[in-house]
Amino acid sequence: MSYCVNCGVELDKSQKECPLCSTPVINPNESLESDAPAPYPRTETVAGAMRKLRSIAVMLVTVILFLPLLVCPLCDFIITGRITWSVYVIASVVYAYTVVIPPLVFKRNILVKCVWIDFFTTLTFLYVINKVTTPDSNWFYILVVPISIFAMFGFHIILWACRRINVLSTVSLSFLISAFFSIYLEYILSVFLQRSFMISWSLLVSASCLALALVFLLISRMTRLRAFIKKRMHL
Amino acid sequence: MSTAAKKWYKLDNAAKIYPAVRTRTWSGNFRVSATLKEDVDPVILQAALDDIRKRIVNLNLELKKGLFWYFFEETDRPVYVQPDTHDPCGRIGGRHNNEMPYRVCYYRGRIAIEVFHALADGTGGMIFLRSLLARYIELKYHEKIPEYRDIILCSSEFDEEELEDAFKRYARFRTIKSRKELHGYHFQSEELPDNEISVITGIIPFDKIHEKSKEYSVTVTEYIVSLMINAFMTAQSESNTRVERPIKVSVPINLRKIYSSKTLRNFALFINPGIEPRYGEFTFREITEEVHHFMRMNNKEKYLNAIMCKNLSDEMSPIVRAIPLGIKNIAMYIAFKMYGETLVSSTFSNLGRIDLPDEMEKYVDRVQFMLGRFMNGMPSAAATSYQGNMYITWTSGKEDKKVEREFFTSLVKAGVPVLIESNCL
Repeated sequence: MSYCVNCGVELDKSQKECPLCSTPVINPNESLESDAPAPYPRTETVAGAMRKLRSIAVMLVTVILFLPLLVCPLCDFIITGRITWSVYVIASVVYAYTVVIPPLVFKRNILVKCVWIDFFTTLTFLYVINKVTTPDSNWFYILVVPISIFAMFGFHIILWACRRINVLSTVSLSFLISAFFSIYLEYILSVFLQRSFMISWSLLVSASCLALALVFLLISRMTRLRAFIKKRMHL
Repeated sequence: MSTAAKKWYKLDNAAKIYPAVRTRTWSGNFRVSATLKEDVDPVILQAALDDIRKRIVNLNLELKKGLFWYFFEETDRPVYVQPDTHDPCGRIGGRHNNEMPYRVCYYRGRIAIEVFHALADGTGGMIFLRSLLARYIELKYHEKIPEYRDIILCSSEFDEEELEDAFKRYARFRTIKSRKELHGYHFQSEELPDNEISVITGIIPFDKIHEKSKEYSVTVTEYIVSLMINAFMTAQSESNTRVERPIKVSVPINLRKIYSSKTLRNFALFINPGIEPRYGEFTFREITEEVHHFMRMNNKEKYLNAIMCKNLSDEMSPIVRAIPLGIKNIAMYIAFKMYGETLVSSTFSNLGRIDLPDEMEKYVDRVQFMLGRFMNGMPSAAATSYQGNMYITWTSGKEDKKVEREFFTSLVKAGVPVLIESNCL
């Protein structure tokens, strides 16, 4: 019989490590009985079956997307003698692949990882489109990059808020970010359209968002107000 | 069985939530198992299952969808015993077990029944297991099993009461009790992927733990609940959370003991003893006192009946009844997310001492009870005692085993030896 040196519990003969603290079992007087019957069979788990199903889905998506990737440039080259329209297909297929596959592959922190991958692939995709369709225009650098960076920044702040602060404060913060985003968007658009910056439509959006942010902040901070609303509006 | 002859039954009050909140990969289940001294013969087990299904009508029910509610319908669909898996208590329903709300598994000497909670509660599940076990021993060892408490023999007469909705029978509707409660602390840790489950069983000499609980003048259940609260309290204080939440452990109360119903369906209510860490630091003795007095106060027929009435009054409201099932499912899912598992930090279900007739006891080594993974993955425990040992099984969907470790090491520190086995190899 072996005991965990850390927890002091006796361990079943099949345990190679303590299930409570992961300390390995080392018993010089008793070699580990690798063939000791385990309390649960080492069969394929439901989770394992799910993983297998996901890997089949990955393979299927890969094959389906690989076909146009092979066929379109070939047709394009045979017909026109060079690569023209098939660039769109290649870019779109690669983009679709990078959007569809990560949720099937990752096990943990799926949201954050997928959003980051989508961020980079969207940037790359739009860069390619920019270079192929309008090589003289700089819309990728002026519009896409700043908007994407702001969106990522906002996403991470909201994510942090979801984990750290209460729901009402998070909603308030989201409205605050939206208010800034609308002004920032109008500014970016005015730079792109080469107009002088004047707050117009974004004022309406940001004012509404700020008002809502304030309302939610007040509700989250004022216990008595929250109790009053709860009393008056309960279902 | 012809379609015209098929009988159907409404789901009981406690059962209604489970089909509504079931997802593609998760359902609210529990598992009862018995380990025999010899390896199980699957052919005989199948024959025993087929035999007891002829007697226990509850095992011939399949879950069906109505326009407004789910319901159970009698079926002659076959149920096949299956080899056990590495991660027990997986989702029940769907193609894998022919839509039946339970499955029967075997592994070496172990026979296990995993039950979807809509069909029965732990006590009902244990009666299924004991009856299956009795029939198996009759067939395998040609023993004559006598009439015994909580064992349904194939030769016995069917009793309509086994299928009754006991909640409806006993609720008096003189008063209802509010369900308002503060949300409890939830142990934070990385979740195991794909609804995987970690199972850790502690095997403890019953007399030692009984002796220990006597030191604090509490019952064994109260002592274990106090240990659980203590473990969660340590986890919360080490997590550096800004707001300390109440630590509550949900304890099912078997209402059959109060109302003497013979139902095999759900007939249990939960009470949630716990502590409020914002009042200050609690010593272990103070926790045991809190739990003991709470249990004594709330485990009373009148209070329980009022809770039962509250639950039934929601279900019986004409507006609720008239809402189509699809919308009701969404509403119940949201309600479950808001109030179901959020109110408590954990659950502890103790089926107590399992006694079998001598004719069966000589073949059975162990009887165990296990809860399925909760939707939020919170660690929870279930226990049985059999032949001088107590089997406390923790199931969890969390990576971190801090709570389980704290629980078992406190027992060791208190001088109670613990033997650990697990599915984490």
